[in-house]
Amino acid sequence: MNFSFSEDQNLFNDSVCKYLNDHYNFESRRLLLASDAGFSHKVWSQCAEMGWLHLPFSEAQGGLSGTAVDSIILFESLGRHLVVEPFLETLITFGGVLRRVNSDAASGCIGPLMAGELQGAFAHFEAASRGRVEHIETLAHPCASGYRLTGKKAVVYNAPNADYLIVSARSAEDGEIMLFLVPSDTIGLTKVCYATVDGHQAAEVELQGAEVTTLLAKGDAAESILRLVVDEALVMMTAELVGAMDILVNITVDYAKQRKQFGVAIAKFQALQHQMSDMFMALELSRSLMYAAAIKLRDNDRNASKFVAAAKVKADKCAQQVAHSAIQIHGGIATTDELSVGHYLKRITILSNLFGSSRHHLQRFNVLSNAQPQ
Amino acid sequence: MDLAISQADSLFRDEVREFINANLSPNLKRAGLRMTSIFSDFDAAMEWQAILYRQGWLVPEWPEAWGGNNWSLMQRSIFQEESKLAGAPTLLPMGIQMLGPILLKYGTAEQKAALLPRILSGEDIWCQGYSEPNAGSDLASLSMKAEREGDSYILNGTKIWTSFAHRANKIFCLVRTAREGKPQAGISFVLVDMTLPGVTVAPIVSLDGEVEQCQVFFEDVRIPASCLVGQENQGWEVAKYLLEFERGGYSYYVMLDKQLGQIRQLAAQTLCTDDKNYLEDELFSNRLAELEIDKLALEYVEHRIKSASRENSAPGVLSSMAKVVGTELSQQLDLLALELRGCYLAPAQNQVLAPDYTGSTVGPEQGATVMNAYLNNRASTIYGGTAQVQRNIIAKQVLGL
Repeated sequence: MNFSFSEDQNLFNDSVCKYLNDHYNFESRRLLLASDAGFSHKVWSQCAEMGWLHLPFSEAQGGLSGTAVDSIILFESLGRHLVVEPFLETLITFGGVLRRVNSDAASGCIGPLMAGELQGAFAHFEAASRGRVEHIETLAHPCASGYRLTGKKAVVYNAPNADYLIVSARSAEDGEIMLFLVPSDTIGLTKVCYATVDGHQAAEVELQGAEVTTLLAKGDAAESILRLVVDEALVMMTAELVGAMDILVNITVDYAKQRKQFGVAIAKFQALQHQMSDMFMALELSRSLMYAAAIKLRDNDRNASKFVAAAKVKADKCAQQVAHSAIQIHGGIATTDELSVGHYLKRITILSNLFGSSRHHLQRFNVLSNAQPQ
Repeated sequence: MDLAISQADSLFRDEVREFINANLSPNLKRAGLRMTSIFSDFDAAMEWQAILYRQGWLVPEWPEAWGGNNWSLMQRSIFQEESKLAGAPTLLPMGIQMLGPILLKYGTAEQKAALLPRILSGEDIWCQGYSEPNAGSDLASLSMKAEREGDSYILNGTKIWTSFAHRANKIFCLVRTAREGKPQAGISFVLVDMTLPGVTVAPIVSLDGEVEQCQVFFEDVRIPASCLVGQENQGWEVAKYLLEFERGGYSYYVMLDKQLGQIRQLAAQTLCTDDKNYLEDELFSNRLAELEIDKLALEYVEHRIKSASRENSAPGVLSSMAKVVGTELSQQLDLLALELRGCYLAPAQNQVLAPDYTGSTVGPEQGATVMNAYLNNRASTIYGGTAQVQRNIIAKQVLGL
């Protein structure tokens, strides 16, 4: 076993860290949130120029053939800086479907996506899904030009800025899962847009007989693509959580060394030292399981889904513990909008509930463990 | 980043498994299964030690000249996993894992020649005299005296929590040889023959009614000065070296895997309601799954420790973390086992702990040792550096607090 990054991976990590350290701080992020798009197109095109958007696509698709292990490097840093640009949406979920299907229309989107000129969203989960990938109420009725979609998709991140959406539905004829590539200006598709508490842009997407023509996958193929894409997204969310924990441990320790009460730095108090030791342990436990999940995903290991579920459950719980402790140790100031600490808490809370909560992933882990003992 | 096991290592695993299966008698196997602490039955442990000694597998980490075999960390870990899986007894670590490495590093040629072979053969049973009634977590405040008198030292004082002192014939002790300067600076490491006049051993009955620990008293015990290991007043450094040596050597996940396996088996055999067992109970199985995930996270921390020589992180500190997480997790698993055993926690039946006991048990046979194990395991977050001391170490060494 080996848990070191390769030379290329270390170089990539260095360049991601350097760029974000130089160009992405809490204050510049605050300005972005107040802007119309809610994120920086300039940052996005610079990331495209640096090749970050090429990462997961195959060489045949013009990409870098990066694996899940490469992507967690990027996402841990995105988590550290609370990056609001839509990497998870455009690159991992939307892009993740595109790169796994055989479709000219999909291939046609990949080039512009990698160039930073095309935004996507993943309109899959619904209000009642609660993380269950197979739970789809949206229906696809055949019509002369293709299909008419009817249904509602819940909290679709990046939908307000998306040029295209991946929309999942069930066939009204045979109940099979279908995946469509849908232009966002399709008639019958409406978006109720809003800002999210974690600084992103999202929408409730409603389909009222929206006519669509591009079917990307159907049946078992569609379902297995969805499961792979969601698993990969869960690992990237885990990496973001790890990045957020990493920063929270650091800034809390730094703060405790500076903040004086009763005439001494509060870092001298053993009650707080032990709480910070627990924060560190939570971080390292989560990080270790994240590595295992990413490697198993990369290797198409038969236990990959089980490890993804485990890593997500662990990171959810640990990140919450770390964020709560960070606020407690900082004291009142961390309950204000002014300090970054609370913003990490918001992102952590959303990441822990977006594609199903820990309860769902724990049950999934349990089912997979019983089906396939180690 | 790679989780793959090399083909050589997987062949090695087969070899180890075959050997253990061929040599583990039913009695030894029962000794392994009926363990209620980190120690197994004394006689079984020594019998297994003799078998491994003959095979040349007793002290992989020692130099080859002294009986070591150059196993890699991965091979040692495989051996540990397979031993636990097969239910082999645990070896007493005081001689082979503690004193041995210390003598190899600090011992004189005479000490090595005289003592190392007797450790391996089991002729000498060593115990560890570190803690004292008033020196627990604050070990450096120990006060047992060794006063130089010609070619001898005269020992006076007492040691406590001395595992297996009632079965040992020798003890290695940290003793005070100077009172000046920092408390750590006046400590020496000495070897004591327990048959000498003035040494008495008082067994301590633990909560579960068993004896593993003792208090040892020293009254004007005269030992030759040649029993000193290292220099006078160098004892603290000698003891610390062992901590370094131990790093990465022990895997908590292996012990936790065994515990989880036993709980799973017990849960499958125990009805929770008229029509379902505990594994089918959502509340129980979700709690079990949560702890399994915690175990997995620790397992990969420990894998990272093993490959840490190629990482930047300090393995020593991750070892402190593994100790805290491993023991606290094990104590949480105990609580699930208690739930499964239910009212049959009550019968006092320590006779079932003996490896050769084949009589009946009150309540189901499986799980009859749950209560003993629970009580014994409360000590695990206290010995070997308390959970609080380990957190102090993390705070100081990693976080710089």
